[in-house]
Amino acid sequence: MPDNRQMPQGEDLPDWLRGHIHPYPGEEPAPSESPAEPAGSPLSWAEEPEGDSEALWFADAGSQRPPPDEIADMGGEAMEPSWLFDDLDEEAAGAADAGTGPAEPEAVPPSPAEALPDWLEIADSLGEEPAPAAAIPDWLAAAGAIEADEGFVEDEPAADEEGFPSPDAAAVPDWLAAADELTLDDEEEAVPEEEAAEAATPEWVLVDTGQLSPEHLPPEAAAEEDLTYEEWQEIQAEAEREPSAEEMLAEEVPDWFEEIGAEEASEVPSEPVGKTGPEFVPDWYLGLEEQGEAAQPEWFDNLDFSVEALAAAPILPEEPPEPEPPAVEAAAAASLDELPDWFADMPDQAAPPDAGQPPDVGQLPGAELPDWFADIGAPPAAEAPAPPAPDAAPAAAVAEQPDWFAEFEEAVQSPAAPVTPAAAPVVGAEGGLAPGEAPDWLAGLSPEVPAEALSSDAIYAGGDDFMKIIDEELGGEIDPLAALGLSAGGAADAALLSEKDATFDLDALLAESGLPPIVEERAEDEDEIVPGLEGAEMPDWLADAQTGEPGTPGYSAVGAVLRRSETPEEELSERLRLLRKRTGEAAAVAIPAAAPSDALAGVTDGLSPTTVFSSVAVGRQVQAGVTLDKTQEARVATLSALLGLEALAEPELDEEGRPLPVDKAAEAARIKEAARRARARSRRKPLRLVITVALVVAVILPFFADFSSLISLPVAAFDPARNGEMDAAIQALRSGDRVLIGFEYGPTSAGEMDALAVPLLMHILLRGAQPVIVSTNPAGILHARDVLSRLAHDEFLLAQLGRPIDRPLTTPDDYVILPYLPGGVVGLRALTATSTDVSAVDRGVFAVDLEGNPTGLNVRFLQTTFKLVLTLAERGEDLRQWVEQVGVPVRLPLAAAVSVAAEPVALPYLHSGQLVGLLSGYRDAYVYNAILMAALPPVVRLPLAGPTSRAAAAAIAGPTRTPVGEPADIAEGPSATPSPTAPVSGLPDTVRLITYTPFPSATPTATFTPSITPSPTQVPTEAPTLTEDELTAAAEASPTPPPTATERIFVTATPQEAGPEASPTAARTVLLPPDQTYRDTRWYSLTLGTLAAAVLIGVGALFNLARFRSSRRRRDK
Amino acid sequence: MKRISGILASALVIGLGLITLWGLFPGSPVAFIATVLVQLVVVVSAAAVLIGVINLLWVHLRRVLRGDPGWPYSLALFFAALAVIVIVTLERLNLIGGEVSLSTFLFNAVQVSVESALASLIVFFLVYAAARLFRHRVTWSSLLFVVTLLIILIGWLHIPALDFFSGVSEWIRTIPASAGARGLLIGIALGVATAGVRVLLGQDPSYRE
Repeated sequence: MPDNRQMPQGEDLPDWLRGHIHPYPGEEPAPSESPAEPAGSPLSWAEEPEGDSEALWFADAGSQRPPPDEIADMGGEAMEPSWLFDDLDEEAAGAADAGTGPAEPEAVPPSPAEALPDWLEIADSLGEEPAPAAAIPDWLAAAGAIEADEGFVEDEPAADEEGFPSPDAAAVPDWLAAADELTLDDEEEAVPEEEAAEAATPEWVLVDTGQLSPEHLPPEAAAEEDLTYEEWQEIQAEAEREPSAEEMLAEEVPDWFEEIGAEEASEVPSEPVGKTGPEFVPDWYLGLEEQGEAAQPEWFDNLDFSVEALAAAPILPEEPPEPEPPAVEAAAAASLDELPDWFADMPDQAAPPDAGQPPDVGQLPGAELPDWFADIGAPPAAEAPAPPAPDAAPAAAVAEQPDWFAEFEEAVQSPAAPVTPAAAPVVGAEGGLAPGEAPDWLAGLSPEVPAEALSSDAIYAGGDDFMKIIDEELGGEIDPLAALGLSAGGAADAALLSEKDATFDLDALLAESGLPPIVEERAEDEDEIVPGLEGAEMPDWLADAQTGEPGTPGYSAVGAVLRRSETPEEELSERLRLLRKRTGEAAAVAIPAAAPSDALAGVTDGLSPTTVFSSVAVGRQVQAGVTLDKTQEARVATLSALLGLEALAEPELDEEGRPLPVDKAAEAARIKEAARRARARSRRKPLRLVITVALVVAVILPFFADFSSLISLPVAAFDPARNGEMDAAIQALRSGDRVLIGFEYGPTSAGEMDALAVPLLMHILLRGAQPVIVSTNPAGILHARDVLSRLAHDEFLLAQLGRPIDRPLTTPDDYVILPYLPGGVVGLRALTATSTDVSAVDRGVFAVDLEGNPTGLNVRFLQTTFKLVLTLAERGEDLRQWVEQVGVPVRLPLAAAVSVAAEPVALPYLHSGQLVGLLSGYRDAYVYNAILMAALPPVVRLPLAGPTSRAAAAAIAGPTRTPVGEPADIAEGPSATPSPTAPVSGLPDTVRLITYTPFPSATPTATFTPSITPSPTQVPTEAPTLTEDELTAAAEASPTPPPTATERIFVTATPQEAGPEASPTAARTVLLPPDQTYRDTRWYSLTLGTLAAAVLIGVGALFNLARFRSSRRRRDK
Repeated sequence: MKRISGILASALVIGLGLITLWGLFPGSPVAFIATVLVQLVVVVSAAAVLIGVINLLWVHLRRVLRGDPGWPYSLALFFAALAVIVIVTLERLNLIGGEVSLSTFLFNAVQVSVESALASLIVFFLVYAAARLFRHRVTWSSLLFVVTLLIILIGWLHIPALDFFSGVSEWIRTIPASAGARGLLIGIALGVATAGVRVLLGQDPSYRE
């Protein structure tokens, strides 16, 4: 024998099987394993893994050792897949054949080891010469070696000449010997004891044990090996009884119930008793209760189908159910459809070579088997005796079977392994198995078992839990097979395991029950053939749906379902009859008859055309049956108003209350009118009109009326808590310094932001600094160009800078506008890359300006190039990016001017010191602009063609005028010699623009009280004209406040009218700060508009609050 | 193939991201590479803008050629864009020009005017919406919103008689609003950091698909 002792290891097996691995005889158990339980321990199989007992047990069919409990469980209903169990049988048979291989080589066709999957090599290795070691896996070699291990079973019976143990009485295990005592009827009782024992033994067991040669099998069984699977199926189909019309309910029958029917069908006589079943029997059970009493099992007799009995019915019947021998073949046939694919592909499975033996293992396509099964599929044929009848469980027990068990039964009892009636196990009250031989789970079905143990949760907990629960409940004292009344040696069941009963069909069962047919045959239509389809082949789907005669092959559940719709009402239950009636009524109401002119006229059973709006209108009728509260009614009315449904007329109804077909033209007209009214309503928005008019008037009115007496101008002071040191940062600039300006706003917010940008830029330019503008906003950079272009040509600014108007500011000498900076935040990062990385290569961001002209900027490090960074941002997001990407890495002073909307985001940066100054909104713009303009002296317009003076000519407007710190060099003309000490710009360093005043109404601390007085008449265009001496004298006479470190000088922007004493011969024009009137008027407009908005919002809120309250009171009432 | 490309993309993003991050540290030896990568992004962004403009023109040109609904507007857009491009090109070539360039004039006359007008409509919309806020439902949140709005507006006026509102308005803007803005900024920073870490760890699915 081959040395096939190496078995699959635990890690190769599924979890449920690992615990069952036992060491082989002669091998020491694994150190980690606990010692083996005594053989008599009923729970040893579950507690101590001693080896692949079931595999060994099956393989060693001749040893006749009592099967372990787990095998008994599997025989009834185990936790392993059924197909696994079937293959184990096959392997056992193969092993048996291997023993008789030399005598009957045809039993197991030899095949090359390399042509077979690994698990198929078992058969070859067992039945033939040992395969080469290279061709046999180790575990298979170990498995095959078990047969030769003589020391495996100490009490191993004497083997026959073929190496199998003799089935003498002493060697027969108890569970098998119990077959001798089994009697089902008198005839069997008359059978001699020896014959009875032989009859109680399955044929394949006899073959395995050498008691019966395949040649001695019954003729019909032997003939089956010549059948193909399809032929066998046909035979089974012919053997089916005629199914009753209740087949339509078969699909509702659970799997376990099918097996119940299979059992009963195999044993129930065909003649129905005609007993009417109780009405409360569930549908899925309909028909079974009408079978003959002789056919039903005893446990069925104990069932009480009365309502009263059901109300007080215990979970389990009073008497233990008497297990009946199941028709395992029928169960297998009934579950053929659930076969796995690999099993269905076995053509020879239906025609086993030996009717008395399990199918040839070598014919199985092992390549498609699961791996873990492939490992299991090589058990040594040395130990296991014939398996007990696995499906001898009573119906009540089968009810607890998991699904996979149905497959198991199907495989075990498939035609490939028919069992002769004489060899079938017997299940009977007297011939039951010994208490220790019954599966525990079957014992759990006995009346002694508490009902809790059979709860679905416990049962379907699966795996060992299920078995443990049963064992705990039984205390390990009841053998499952004994509880079943099952004996492996039983013979009475063999009569029930004929081929005729091999296939279970609930239809046949129901047909034999004698139930009156509820489906009437359409005899008048059966013979009708549609013209043109004579001789045509019926498609499969139609064949499946045809309503053949019950019991015929063409009769199917699909057809039965189809026929059910044609069942006369009088044969339907009251519930179905009412349902059908209501369905017909609903269809008649919902689908009006199509007009003859419709496109679908004459077409029946189709979707009838309907009008959407008519159906909407019908909705009112539908809602008549719905109770709506006032809120819901109001919502419905609102929705209807929105949809214009109120314009739709109520649908016309016929005498039965059904809506008549809608006139489409009238319907369209109504819809059009409703839409027109809806549009008209949308136009009538009086409140919107009032608000718009009020705001427009409030904004425009200050331009035509004086509101100076009503609205005060803002105090010309900055709050350091809100504004920081913006002015100081700019004032600290020197001539030639550069300021990097982020121009991050576009035309959308230009109205607000320009008011901030212009004074800041002007201040920077007045300081002689050079703004370098960059923007990540493409529109912003264009707008910056526009703003700078206006400033570059501003006459007042030019005059302050000592430039004539024909010498505007130019780029890149006075300012630079860089091109659009793409990339957003990454672009900003790239802008500072050269400043943060000494090894970075200047890619020329500052090389050219917006126009493509060279800027002349040699920017290597921003820190050394720029003195200040100013961000003009309309959004907080823009400011955040500048702070993060420019301010933090470069660590230059960063100031910001943002919109009011961005002020909350900017304030944290100011408070954290990341911003040195902050301006927000028009108010700050006004203050900054006012103070700046007030600080600038009136200047004299310089001649266009004359050479520029170095400094602007400052005109002293009054005694309170803040003078320049240094006497202005009012050199005029080409002969003028500039003073070397004169500042280049018109805004000296000594002038401090801003004062600190506690916001908002604190007392100024400076010398002068700030007073920014609007002056509508302050724009004299041609006056005053002063002589050079007068200008010089005025400049020298102007008071200069002593600057101190902490002092801020308040300035007044009160321009002085040109005195009449001014010389008319003066050629220069004094320029005043521009846009002061517009600035003030704009302030008035803004204030008045804000006030109007507040009033409108407040009034609207109060009105709606009152309205809401009144409506609530009405609703409460 | 798709999986391989996803892996490569993720590896590329993670690697370059780490290099860029490393390059931000002072004295990092890979600062040069990080700077190049950042500048590459800028160049790609500029190219994307150009491609976007070309695609926009092409889309509208196709609409005109196909006669899709609204094709006259597409035609106006197409010719307006072409006209601006031509004008700017001529200005750059000094073929046309003046004290105020034509492109600047067009920009102020069209772009700025239209955008400013549209932006100015917001005030009407906001006031109308605020006035009707209590029309259908009054909640505490809406009530708080309206009261706060009124206080801010009235306080902004700096009316001496309403100095109380000015103080309250200032307090609202500097304390609650500023606190909320700080929280927002902190949240943004944390979110950006988290997003960056996700990218560096390869958890960002956008580079794996």
